[in-house]
Amino acid sequence: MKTVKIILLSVLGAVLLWGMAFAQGGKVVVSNKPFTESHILAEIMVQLLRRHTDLAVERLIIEGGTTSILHPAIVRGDIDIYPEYTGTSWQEVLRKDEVVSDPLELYERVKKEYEERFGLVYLPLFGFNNTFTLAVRRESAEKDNLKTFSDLARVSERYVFGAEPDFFERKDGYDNLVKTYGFRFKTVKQMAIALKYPAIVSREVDVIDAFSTDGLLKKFDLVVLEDDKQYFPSYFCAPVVRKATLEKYPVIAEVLGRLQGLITDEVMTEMNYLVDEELRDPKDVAREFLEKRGLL
Amino acid sequence: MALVSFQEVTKVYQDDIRAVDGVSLEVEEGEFLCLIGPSGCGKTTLLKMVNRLIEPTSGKIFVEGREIREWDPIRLRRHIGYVIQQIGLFPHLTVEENMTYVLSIMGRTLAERRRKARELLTMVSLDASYLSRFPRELSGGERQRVGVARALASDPRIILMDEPFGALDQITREQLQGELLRLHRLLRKTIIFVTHDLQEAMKLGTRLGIMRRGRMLQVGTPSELLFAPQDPFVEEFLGSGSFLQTLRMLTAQEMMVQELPRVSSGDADGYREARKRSAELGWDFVFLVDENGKLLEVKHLNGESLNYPVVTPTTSFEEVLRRMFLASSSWVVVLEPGNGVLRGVVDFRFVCSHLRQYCLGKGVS
Amino acid sequence: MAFLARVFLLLLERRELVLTSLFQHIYISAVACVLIGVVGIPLGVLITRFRSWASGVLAVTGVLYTIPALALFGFMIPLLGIGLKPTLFALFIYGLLPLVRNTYVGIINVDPGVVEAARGMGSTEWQLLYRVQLPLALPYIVAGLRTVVVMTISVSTIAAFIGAGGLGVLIFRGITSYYTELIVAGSMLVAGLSVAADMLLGVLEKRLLRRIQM
Repeated sequence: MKTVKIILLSVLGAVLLWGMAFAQGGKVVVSNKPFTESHILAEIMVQLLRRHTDLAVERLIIEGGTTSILHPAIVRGDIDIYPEYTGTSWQEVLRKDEVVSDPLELYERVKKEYEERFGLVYLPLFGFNNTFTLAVRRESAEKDNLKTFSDLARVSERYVFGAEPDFFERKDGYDNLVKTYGFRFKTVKQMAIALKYPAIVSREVDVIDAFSTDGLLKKFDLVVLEDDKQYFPSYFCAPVVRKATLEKYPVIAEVLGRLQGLITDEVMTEMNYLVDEELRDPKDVAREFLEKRGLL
Repeated sequence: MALVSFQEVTKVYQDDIRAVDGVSLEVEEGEFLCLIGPSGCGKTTLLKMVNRLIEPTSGKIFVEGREIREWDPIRLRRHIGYVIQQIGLFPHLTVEENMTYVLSIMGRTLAERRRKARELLTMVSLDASYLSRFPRELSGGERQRVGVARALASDPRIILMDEPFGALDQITREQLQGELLRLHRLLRKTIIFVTHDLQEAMKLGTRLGIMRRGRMLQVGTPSELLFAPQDPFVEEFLGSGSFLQTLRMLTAQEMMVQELPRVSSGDADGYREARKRSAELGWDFVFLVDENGKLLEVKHLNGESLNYPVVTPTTSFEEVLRRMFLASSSWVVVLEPGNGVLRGVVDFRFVCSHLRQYCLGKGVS
Repeated sequence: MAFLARVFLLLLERRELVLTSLFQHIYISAVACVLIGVVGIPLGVLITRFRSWASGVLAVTGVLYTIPALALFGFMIPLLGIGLKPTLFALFIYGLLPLVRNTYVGIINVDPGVVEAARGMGSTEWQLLYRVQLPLALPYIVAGLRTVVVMTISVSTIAAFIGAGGLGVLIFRGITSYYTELIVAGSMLVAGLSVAADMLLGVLEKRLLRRIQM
């Protein structure tokens, strides 16, 4: 009899705990992708919202949270806000083949489709364009006199290429890049975003895809090459919010709108550098940014 | 009234194997019935149909007057004792808990169970220190004693035993056989006992049921089966290849007279009755017993006290004859071992008449 | 040596994060294990009663067990979203087999003579199960439970990947920020938790076995 009681109690306990875990209510969940830049942006948004609204703002960090996880999550309502890039939305989420060169036109079209198809709202842009580039070690650049992607194409047989899985999936990713520039890399390796930099430093790979606002470029003394054929599209960044959430709490649009255009390429790269190189806490870096602008 | 009654009981398995084929049999209350036969003859199947561990395909079985299909199988089983060859004691329970298991599943109180446990222990000649022990600490013989005790816990009228001593060594087996006989006499239970050991069956059974290929060939007392077999297989099985061999297997209790001229000392009326009975039997002596039936003295009608050879109920016939020869006596007294209770007398003249009948039957003049 | 010192310092520095992750991890593992226990043991018992289902059930849970944990988590997302729900579900599916199988085997392996004696004496099926089979199968069941608990604690590190928190946060965070000390800190805590849980269950196992005198 005693055993039965123990069993029943633990079942009850588990059910209660389970229930508690799922008790949602009156809160806004902000998430981000698992790299420094996204962390910082999320922190900025969260601190801003907490300061200027009385909403319960929860920061949810999904360690594996790439677009393929975040997008379904925000559509389902598991999260409410996360920072996304126009280029990523266009190719990965909307799956468009069409190349749209004008960044602002891209933004408007993405914004329209997001609202119509998913009930998601693209708020005004932060200001920076974090697009893809290719990066090599400084000594490689000096030795082979590399300045542009085409220069690299000349010597590509001697280079090992590394990138994260996303890069191989995207329409504007590896396959088309190779077609456009005629790269013939010796070997091609896939690895997690976080492992690319150690890999190029340790010479496991010789060229990696990189993001133009990457603080680690500075940290590891890597040289960024010029996209001379204008292959990569634009990736301007903005908060994406659930329409339903905005309708419930319109103050969100107003508060986050204050960030419009404030984060330029330089500002973003600097913040990334502070976190990646000087090992500062993203929370502090975000706070400093907001205080300097008098937003906090 | 028959406590257990089989009427045309049949058990057929999928492949058309008739494990039990039209068996009809009445088991009287207080009987010790041994079911015996070669492997596969259906004796165990028949046994297990009594407590519905196996359901008959056709035919009826009555327990205590009611058809077993009308009994709730659970209630039926709790009402019947069951002892198996593998013993099957619960390793995680103490001897006490093992013995009173059926009581605990019937919801009896702890006090009741405790009390019963002590009772049961003495019945199977184990002392109280065994109560808190675990089966793994016991020898094979001790375990089966507990097994038997366990079957007695709910005070059943019927006990089913399926080759219970099969897994024990010879010495332990004989010990337990003796104890079982004693218990049977003491408690007057009805026992249905399956064995393949003819000697065991002869020793224990008041009646034997010989089975072969699912059919019940003959049911009778050991001497009936021996002297009046109704089927060549019965003859063969009992080993008529050597009649004498089989004769040796008979025990004193088979051959003894039980209605004796007994009298308690100082009982004048009883003495008159005893003398009458003595005369009927052609004897000239009476037996003086105490209030428990224990034999005090064999008294000649002229008052003289007689010497007498003694055997036990399970003493083999061979040994009985030997004693007779040694004592130069045509009769031996059968006493119960341990308490000396007078059970009967084996008189050589009656044995002779049995033999004469048998020989006549065989066409030997 | 200096490395380990840095690890401990780190644990101290970021103790808020460490403690939160630790409690989340314990919570996730504990709830998952309770669910597995509550479903797994009765399921194991059930298939001893309905033997024809046994091979099917064991086969299905066996296949689920062979699916790499990470893939299982991945499958769950489109169905259940992110966070606690898909995590618990994936852990549940993953941990089911050892417990079901051990319960089943434990009960099947009870001496048939004991089962026959219990039935012959008039035990109901429930009494047979409760008073005889389960106590005697307990060593197997507890062994299965220990396996499941240790495994779940380890696999729960993936929970962080889909946003459910836990010590995986430290590990993943350490990876994404090239902070080896953090990775080690997280791994050490997971290992420590495993060892502690295993030891605790070991004590429980001994106590239980003493009670049923095996």
